[in-house]
Amino acid sequence: MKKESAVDEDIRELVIARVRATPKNVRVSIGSQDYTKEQLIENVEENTEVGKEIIEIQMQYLRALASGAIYAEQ
Amino acid sequence: MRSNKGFLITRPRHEILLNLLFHWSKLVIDEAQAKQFRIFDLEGDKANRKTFVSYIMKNKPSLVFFNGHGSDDVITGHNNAVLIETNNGTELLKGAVVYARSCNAAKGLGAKAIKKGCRAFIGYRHKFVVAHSTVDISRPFEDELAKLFIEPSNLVPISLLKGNSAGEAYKKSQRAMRRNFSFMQSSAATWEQQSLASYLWGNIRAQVVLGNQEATA
Repeated sequence: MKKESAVDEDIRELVIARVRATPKNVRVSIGSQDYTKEQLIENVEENTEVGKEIIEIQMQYLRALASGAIYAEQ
Repeated sequence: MRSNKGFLITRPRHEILLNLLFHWSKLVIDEAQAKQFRIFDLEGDKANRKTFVSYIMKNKPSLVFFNGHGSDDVITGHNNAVLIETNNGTELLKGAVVYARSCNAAKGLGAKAIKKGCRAFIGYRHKFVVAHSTVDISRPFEDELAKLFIEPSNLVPISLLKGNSAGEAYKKSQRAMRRNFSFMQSSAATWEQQSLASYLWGNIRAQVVLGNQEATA
């Protein structure tokens, strides 16, 4: 079984891959800041508070997708 | 004949997101005008604590709509100066229905406002996120990406102004977000829209209604 830190690292890599797949010509406003794709990735890599928020949002979405909750609730 | 009901809105515009919300909030003000509400528009640098407290004490609006940054315990106005805090000012919301288009404020501040007599509080217990395009900043209504995030959030105050209850306004906004979310996941959406659907899902999950769901503005 993987250690927790290894799982966290896997999750971080997954989220970075998802953010990397977004186009360059968009910005995401989270709180008082506007983020480019590169800045989103940096925040996830550096595990900042915003990075943690991004991971939480992405994982919440993926869990809902996997469980079917997204479709059940529509 | 003008209604006795008052509508107070804060709409600072010192950052890109706030400027987008500033323009989109004009549609809500139009609805308030159509419904004959007395309108107290704290726009730009008027969204400061002194003016906010003065207006709310004097006019006792039945509907308060915050646009601004937030945290568990704070909602801010112009230049991110504090307008209201969990432990300072929530009593000002007594008797009102409140919508806070601000990050996290439903978590601590919203719950405290309800304890202090606010009839209903609709807001977000996590981050309120808006994705927008980089090419349409000067034309906020033409940004089809931002529209998918902001238009459903406008439905909360618009529904309240139309006489719907807090619970109904929340449900209408939720349904509109889910419609947009479904679209963003479909093949009809652009790549930009598809790749940012997860953030709208975050807003759907973060939005809550507290207090009396039957309350009307």
